[in-house]
Amino acid sequence: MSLVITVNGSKHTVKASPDTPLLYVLRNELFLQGPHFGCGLSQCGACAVLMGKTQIRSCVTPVVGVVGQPITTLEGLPALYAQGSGQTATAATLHPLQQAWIDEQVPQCGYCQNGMLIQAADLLMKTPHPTDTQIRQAMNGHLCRCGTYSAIIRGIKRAAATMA
Amino acid sequence: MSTPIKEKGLSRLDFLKASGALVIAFSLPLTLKAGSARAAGHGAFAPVNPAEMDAWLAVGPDGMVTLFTGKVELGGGLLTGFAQIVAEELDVPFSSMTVVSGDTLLTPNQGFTAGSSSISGAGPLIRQVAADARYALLQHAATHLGVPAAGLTVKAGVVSVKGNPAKSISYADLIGGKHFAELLPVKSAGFGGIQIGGKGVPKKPSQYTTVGQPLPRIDIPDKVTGKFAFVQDVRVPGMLHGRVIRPSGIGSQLISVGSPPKGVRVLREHNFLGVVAENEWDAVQAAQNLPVKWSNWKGLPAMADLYSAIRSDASAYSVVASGGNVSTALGAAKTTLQASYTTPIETHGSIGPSCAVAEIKDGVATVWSGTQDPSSLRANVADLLGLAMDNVRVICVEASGCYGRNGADPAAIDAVIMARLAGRPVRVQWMRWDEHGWDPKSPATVHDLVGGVDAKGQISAWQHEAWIPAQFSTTIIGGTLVGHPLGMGSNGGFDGPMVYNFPSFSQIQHGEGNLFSSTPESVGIISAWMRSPGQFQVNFAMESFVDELASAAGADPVEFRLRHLTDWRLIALLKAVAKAANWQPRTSPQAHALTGKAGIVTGRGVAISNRGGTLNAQVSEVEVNRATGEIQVTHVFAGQDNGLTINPRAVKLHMEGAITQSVSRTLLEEVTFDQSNITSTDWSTYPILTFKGAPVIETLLIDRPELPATGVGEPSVNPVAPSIANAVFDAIGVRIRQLPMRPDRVKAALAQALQAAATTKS
Repeated sequence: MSLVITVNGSKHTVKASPDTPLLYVLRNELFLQGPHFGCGLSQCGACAVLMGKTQIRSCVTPVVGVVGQPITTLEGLPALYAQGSGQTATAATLHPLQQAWIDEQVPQCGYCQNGMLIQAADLLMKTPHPTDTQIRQAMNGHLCRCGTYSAIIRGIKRAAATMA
Repeated sequence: MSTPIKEKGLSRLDFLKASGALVIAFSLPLTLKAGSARAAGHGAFAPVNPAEMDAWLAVGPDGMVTLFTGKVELGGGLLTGFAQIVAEELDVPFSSMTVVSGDTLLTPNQGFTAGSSSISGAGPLIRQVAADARYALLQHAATHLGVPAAGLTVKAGVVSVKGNPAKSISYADLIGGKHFAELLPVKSAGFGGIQIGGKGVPKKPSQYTTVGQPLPRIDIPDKVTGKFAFVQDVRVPGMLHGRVIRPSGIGSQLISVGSPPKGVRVLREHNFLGVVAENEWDAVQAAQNLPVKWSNWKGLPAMADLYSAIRSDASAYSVVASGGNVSTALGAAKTTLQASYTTPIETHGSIGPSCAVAEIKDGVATVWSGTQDPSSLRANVADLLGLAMDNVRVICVEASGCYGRNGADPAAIDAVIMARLAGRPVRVQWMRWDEHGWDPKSPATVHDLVGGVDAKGQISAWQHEAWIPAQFSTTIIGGTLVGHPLGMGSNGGFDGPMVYNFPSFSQIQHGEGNLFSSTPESVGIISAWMRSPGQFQVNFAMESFVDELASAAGADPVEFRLRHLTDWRLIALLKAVAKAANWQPRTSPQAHALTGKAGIVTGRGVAISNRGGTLNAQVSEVEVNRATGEIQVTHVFAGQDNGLTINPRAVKLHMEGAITQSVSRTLLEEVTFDQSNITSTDWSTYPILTFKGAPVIETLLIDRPELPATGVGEPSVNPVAPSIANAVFDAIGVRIRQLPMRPDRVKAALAQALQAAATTKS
């Protein structure tokens, strides 16, 4: 029996076996390029997606585990924001975090930024005006090798101010 | 760049037509035809001739300008900088720029993108080409408008007559769909790539309106939406997913392989082992679970013996730089000191493990890779497959940041080996343990320093002797495993110019090969370049020891450095950084720093460096927990003088990243190994800095537009480790001479210092 998952508001019938990590389904069946393989060990966060309003690591989450749960990837952040702020899904072309990332010129190589944006979206849904300490605490499980941590903190603060 | 659809015999011209960026020409018909190139004796992929202006620039009928460059984006914004330079010289809007980069079919060969040499080396070249293009365009506009070129001006890609703006013609209208057909004299070729130049005279820096502006990077919007295609996102029709299975020990031989599960094929050649499958997860699981027997190999020394092994390994001795008579000056010195420093083996630690796709069809190979050097990868692929270079195309697609030679090239060769064995295109992505375990490593180093201070408080003698294993090996593990060696070993070298005016000094190197490569069946721990190779290590020892001498001389560390500096730019920079950090003159350590009392104390330290002409000065502020030995770097004030700055915002953010990464290297990073292999194979065994440890960094740029632009990717890493070590000494009165400065080491050093102090007292 094939599984059906909901990603960025659309339903998809999954071909992969139920134990396949969600990441491989998102990349190889849905051809999404936001979530990245980083470690396969839930250590770095490059593969992060939202399940509801919570960040999860798609590299260690079996696809069967997200059946019936709304999954949002980096590609779905604008629509998620538009929906949450009562706009039509097409109103926003970028989530305020994405705009803030551009305004602050956050990425260097950019490979980890998927996870950073997803975790930041999780944070701002729960804590709309985080302090520096709250940001560092919430983001701490995501690794960036280019050293963009400070730029990310600025980006989150800018987005929080925009969303107020 | 987007990956063009590839077919055998695709010419550069086909690509240009497809992309809408027609090559410009004033007189000649289009000549760049795939057929004619092959007829002239070339293989499928004709080489790009750097002496033709068309190799570098194209203007589309819509006025869009495309720059073709063999240099590649590594995440620091290089291509944005190049686009600014071209837009400046041509006087076209920055928004009209496109850059095609690192494709051996489409772009000139410009060698490595490494060593912070691209803006400094290739920047002037690209500026000259753009100036030459402008010159040619103005000549033709002069003919068209009936006014001498000197009477013309250009704004936003439109040439008009000075004082009569109605009389004008755009670049797009001027050139139609024709070639430039201009030849550029080739002047030289070197590490920074070729140098060419014609009649164009580049603008004076005082005329710049695009260069020097903090323009947004061209790659960033796609990197925050998921539209950006990394090399990890490349797919080609019919490709299989591959994973490698590496030997248990570095020199282990493959004894036997069990049967793979359904849907998985085992690919084996000599000691090379991999699996391929239609389904990626099948390949991942098979690579982990396949029963494989390797021979027991234990050719590495015990990790505890790392530094003694480096001291005793075969090495090439040479004096790198010297002046005066060190031994005489040491004899006459009022105070002499000696100290030894060590730095560990490090890994590049790219967040995305290396990945590549290879396709071999009808005697033609195409490889998609995140390499820093498409030309050398092309040569290695041709060598391995026995193909002519013209039958190999390497397409660079940006990968996860590499910071030097990581697994990009070896993964590309793995893909080629597997594509040949499978008879299908193969995408190989390394697993986390493959990258941590098998990427070429930054080597461990050992430093002995001796110094003397005279009665006036001046350093009178200085000797720095360093043991440095290979930093530039290009040995590719896949080649070794299939029994077809690829790449070359190298010897390590001392990198760290003497920035002080010491009356006597010597810098001595013992250059060594790959770590522990003396056994016949093993290449040892392949060691290659990682961000500021050699100098990160040398400067840790050098600038820590300057501080030790400052303390011995009873001098303030900033003032002490200024006593010995003569370079006015470095003096100005150090003063500016000290001012920004509100540095108050006093000696280090602080009074009562060395004590057994628990508690968190603060300290500050300074260090400077010169890498390739880029000058750096930094003040680091730390908190040290005496009870746990934990160091938190709270603030870094970082100044840089890199001559002309192309994009100050991109440079400052690049510095911020480089410094954050270097704090990580300084405090945490160390590759571990047993006698068989590397044992730090993930982020728990090789931890790096997280958000909690990230310092607040204040960057300060001294812009000198009248001076040539020098590199910005690496130089700011060099003062980080010594400025932290100096700050820790300031805080707790203990000198840490071993990287990384892990809590257990700091705690042990503090205990030892307290014991020594107690013994002296009693």
